[in-house]
Amino acid sequence: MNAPETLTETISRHFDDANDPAQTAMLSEQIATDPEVAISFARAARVHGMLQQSLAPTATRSRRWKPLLWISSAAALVIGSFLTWKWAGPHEDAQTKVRITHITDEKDDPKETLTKTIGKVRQVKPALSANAPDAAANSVDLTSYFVDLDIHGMTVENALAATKVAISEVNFYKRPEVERYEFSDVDQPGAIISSFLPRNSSIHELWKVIRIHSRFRVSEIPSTALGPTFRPTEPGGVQSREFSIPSNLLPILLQISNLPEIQSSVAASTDLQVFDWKNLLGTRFGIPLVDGESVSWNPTTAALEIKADTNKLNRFEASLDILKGREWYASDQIRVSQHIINCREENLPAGFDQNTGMLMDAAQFAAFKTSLVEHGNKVVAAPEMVVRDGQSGQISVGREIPHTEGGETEVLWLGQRCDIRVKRTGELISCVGNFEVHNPPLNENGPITTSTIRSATTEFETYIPRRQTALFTIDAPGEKGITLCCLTVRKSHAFENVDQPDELPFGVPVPDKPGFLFSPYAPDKGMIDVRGIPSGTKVACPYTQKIFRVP
Amino acid sequence: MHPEFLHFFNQCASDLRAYIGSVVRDVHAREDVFQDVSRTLWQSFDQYDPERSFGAWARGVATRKMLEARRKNARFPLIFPPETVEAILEAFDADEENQRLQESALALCLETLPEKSRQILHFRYQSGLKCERIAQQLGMNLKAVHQVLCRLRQGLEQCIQQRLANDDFEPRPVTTLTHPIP
Repeated sequence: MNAPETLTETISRHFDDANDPAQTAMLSEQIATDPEVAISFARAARVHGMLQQSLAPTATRSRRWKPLLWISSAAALVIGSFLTWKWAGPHEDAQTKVRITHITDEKDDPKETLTKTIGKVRQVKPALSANAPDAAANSVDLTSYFVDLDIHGMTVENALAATKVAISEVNFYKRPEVERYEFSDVDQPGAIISSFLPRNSSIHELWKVIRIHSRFRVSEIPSTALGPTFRPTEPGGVQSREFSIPSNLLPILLQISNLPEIQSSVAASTDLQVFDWKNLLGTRFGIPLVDGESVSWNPTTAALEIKADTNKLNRFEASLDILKGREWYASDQIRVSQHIINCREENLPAGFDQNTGMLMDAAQFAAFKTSLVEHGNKVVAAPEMVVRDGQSGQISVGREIPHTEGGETEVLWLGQRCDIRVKRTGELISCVGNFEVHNPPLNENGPITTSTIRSATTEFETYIPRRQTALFTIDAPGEKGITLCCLTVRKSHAFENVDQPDELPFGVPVPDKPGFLFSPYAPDKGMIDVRGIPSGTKVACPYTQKIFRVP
Repeated sequence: MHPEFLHFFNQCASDLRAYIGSVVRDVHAREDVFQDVSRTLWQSFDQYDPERSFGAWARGVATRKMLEARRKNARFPLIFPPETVEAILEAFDADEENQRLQESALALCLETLPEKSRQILHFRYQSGLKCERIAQQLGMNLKAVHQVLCRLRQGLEQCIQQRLANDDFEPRPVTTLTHPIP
């Protein structure tokens, strides 16, 4: 037995893994009971650690210092934030830092993220197949695909390479149709995409999304692309077969046709019987029918009856399977809810910056609204609209006033009007637009003319995560306090019937007091001023926060 | 975000590593704990009380992590029971010295060692040999190797203390310790 002779030796042997369990137990007990021994142990541990540090071979050193490296680099990147945004010229250590920066995400385990590469292709559209086909099939937008890549911490070159991979994934027809891709403002070779801070928001997440907007026109799909690798066998003889066409696929087939005059004529299912199916099969599916072969639509079974050579039938079946296997998407619909709120400055939320605004999640915004009302502030209007991704819309809350001058009558408009363009930008929804406010003259009893109306326009651009609310101030001359515009965005289901009437109650008009209502939820609470708010507009009850409509 | 974090962390990193290494047996587990602690320190630097020693805070975090790991996983290679780990933690805190000065002093002490001693240290630390292999390499018996290593460590420890106690001691840049400091 190679037993230690002294406690010092036992401690020393501890660092050579040479103590047996009994010796370790003895050492443990002594350390726990005798502070002097503990001190000796600590000193020996320090010497051992320093020797390891100073004499360790280079090969293992890099591993040992990796945490320090990533912390150093992460700190440098975070501290520098946008300073690292654009580094001039290639960086020698770019790859190392690329990996290191991942740890700035607190949820990530650095050991795992060291090997994390890129994100995945995601098609963000709700499936058309889950819905009835659009009545106007030609207007179905089948063209938008998006690729979201987590390129945070990648060099631009690497991000570009990843983008190419993603393009090939998203373009299932192997025909890159990418119209453009956006790297925000990072285009410096060698630069590391380290952070992205949306404007006008308080989000400090360090992430970046590349958005690839792929314009994909189904009418341009070459016929050969529709079929899989298909090798005709020997002629199999003419047969007749029925191909059931799912309702979601029907508009796709019609759009695939390159005969717009036929497409436009197809408005009802009965027209499918006169649709030039033969042309479609020949030009788009590469299945030309010859004499003795035919195709027709059976409206009873909603199927195509094709009489053709077996090889052609097999080819069409294979092509149809491909189409059925695809998910066809219409463009997003985005619901934009607006709250126009007049509030006193002291009731603004903590940390609110009047220059940049702020973001709130749903719970925060609900609490904020409640707090506002409790403090006697007013929700002027709460209209909302649904637009397609990339479309513009207008929300108007106001009234028209006829004005006669010099024998001519014109209609003046008072109120708030918001022109807004809503667009998905990665995980955010960008809302860009302007907000016009036209308020009555200072002298309420004075004439309302074009010149006496007080107007102001506020331009805004904000990036809002789904289901969150962006708050910003708007110029509203003559209004007391601050006028806040609160925009809430959420993705709306495609083909959602936006015009479907809700069952919201209407406010109860106050007799002899036009423009004033009682809340249907709290009729005994007091009058609500809805002057200037058009009929049908949804407003929030200031007492209960529930929504009702202006009668 | 935390401009002073690196300063503090660099000061205590090797000491933190030494502390973890003294109570955790497996080298990979040590590395995991160190990384985990480093990340926690970075993330919760806002909670660091500058009145306290950063090293003590870091060791406290490390202790908590190790004991927690042991609670969750009985196979976590913690060498000592919790009370011993606590005692070692207190000893580290009570005997804390400027790490950079100690490293600088150690570098000078290493230069004064005879060739044979440096060779043993080279085998043990640079080549990473076990004591049995060192004994084979040098034609010594195992116990002698243990004793030599013990004496060397003890001697270096005393040498460091003496140099630090010397008013004329001027720390050298840590360039002799060739690890890269970012």
